[in-house]
Amino acid sequence: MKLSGAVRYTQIDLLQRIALSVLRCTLTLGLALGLAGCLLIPEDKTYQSLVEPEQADGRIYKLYPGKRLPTSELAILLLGDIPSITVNGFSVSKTDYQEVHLLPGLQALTWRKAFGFSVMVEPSMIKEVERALEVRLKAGQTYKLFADRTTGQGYRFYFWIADMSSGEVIGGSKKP
Amino acid sequence: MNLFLKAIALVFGVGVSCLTGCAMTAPVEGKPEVTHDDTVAESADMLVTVGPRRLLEYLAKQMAATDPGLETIDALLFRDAAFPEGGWHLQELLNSDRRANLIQQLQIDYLILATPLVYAVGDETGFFVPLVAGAQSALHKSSLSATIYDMKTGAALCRIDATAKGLERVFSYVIIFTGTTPHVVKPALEALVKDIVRTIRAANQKPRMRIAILAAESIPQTQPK
Repeated sequence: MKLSGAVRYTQIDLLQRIALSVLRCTLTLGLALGLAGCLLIPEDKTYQSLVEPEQADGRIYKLYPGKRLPTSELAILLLGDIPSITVNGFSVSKTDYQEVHLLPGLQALTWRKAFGFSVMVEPSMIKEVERALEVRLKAGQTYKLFADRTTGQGYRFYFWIADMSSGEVIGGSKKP
Repeated sequence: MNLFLKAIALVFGVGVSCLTGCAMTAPVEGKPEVTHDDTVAESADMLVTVGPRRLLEYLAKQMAATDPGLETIDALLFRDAAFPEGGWHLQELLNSDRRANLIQQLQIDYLILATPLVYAVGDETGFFVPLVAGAQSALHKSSLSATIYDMKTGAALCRIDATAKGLERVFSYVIIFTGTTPHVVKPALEALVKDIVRTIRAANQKPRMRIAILAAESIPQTQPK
C-alpha cells in the first residue's frame, strides 16, 4: 500500500511539474510574442524611393546661376536635421539635397520642422513650426540650420543658424 | 487552492498568448486617373527649378523606359543653359530668343515642367473601440501634374493632371489588425509618364527627340535674389 501511495504521489507530482512547465512556457512565449508583436505592412516602394534618406548623403543644390564655382567663392548651407527649407523662395527638401550652395550676400531663409509632443502637453501630439529670417552669408563659410524646443508645459521653439567654423549664431535664437 | 491558482495562471497565460499583437495588411494598387487641359493659362508666375531632384530623376528614368526615342537632357544642364544670369522665370524663357539659342545649343524639342508630388490621406471613417474591435477606412491620394512646352513655339502643348486613389482598410480585433494598404504613388507617376509620351508622340512623329524635365514653383511674394 505504501508503495502504491508513493507511486501515485509521484505521478501527481510529475503532472504538476508538467503543468507548471507548460504554464511557464505559455507565459514566457506569450509575453515574448506580446512584446515583439508581428508587423507585416507592405511599404509603397516607389514612394519610399522618393522620400527615404539615401545612402549617399551630401547632395548639393547648386542654387546660383552660371558655371560651377569653387567653394571659397560660395556660401554653403547645411540642412542638418531640418526636413525642408526655402531659400529665397526656392523649396529645398532634405530628401533631395543636404547642402545648398549659394552666392554670398543677403538670403531670405525659411525653415520648418515638425515636433512630437506628449498628449499631456499638446493634444494634437505634433506641431509643425516655421521661422523666416534674412541673413547675410559670407563666401567660404559653412552654415548650419538648427531647430529645437524645450519640453513640458510652456514649451518654446528655437530656430537658429550658426557659422560652423566659429560656432557663432548669425541669426535666430539658440536654445539655451 | 493550488489547482485554483494554477487554473488562474493558465487563463492568464492563454490570455497573454491571445494578446500577441499582430498587424498584417495586403497591398492594393491605386486606381489612376488622368485629365488634360489644353488651355493652359499664361505662366507668368512660375519659376523653373531642379528642386524635387529624386522625382525628376524618377520621371526621366520612366520616360526613357516608356519611349527610348525620347532622350532626357540633364535638368541642371538645361537650367544653367536656359538661365545663364539666374532668375529662372519661365516667362523669360518662353518669350525670348533664348529658346532659339537653347534649341541650337541642346537640340531640345520639349520642356516638361512637373509640380511636386502631393500625397494626402483623408479622414478616417468607421469605428474603433480600443482593445475590442474596429473597422475603419481612409482614402489615400497622390497627385501631380506636368505641363509640356513646345520649345519651337514657346507655347504650352497641354497640362496633364494625374491622380491615383486607393482605400486603406483596417479591421481590428483586440490587438490583431488586418486590412489593405493602398499604393498610390507608382500608378499616378506611371499614368503621368504614359500620357506625356502619348501627347508628345501625337504632336511630333520624329523618331528621336530631346526633352528636359524640370519642376515648376510659384514665385514667392518676396522676389528671389
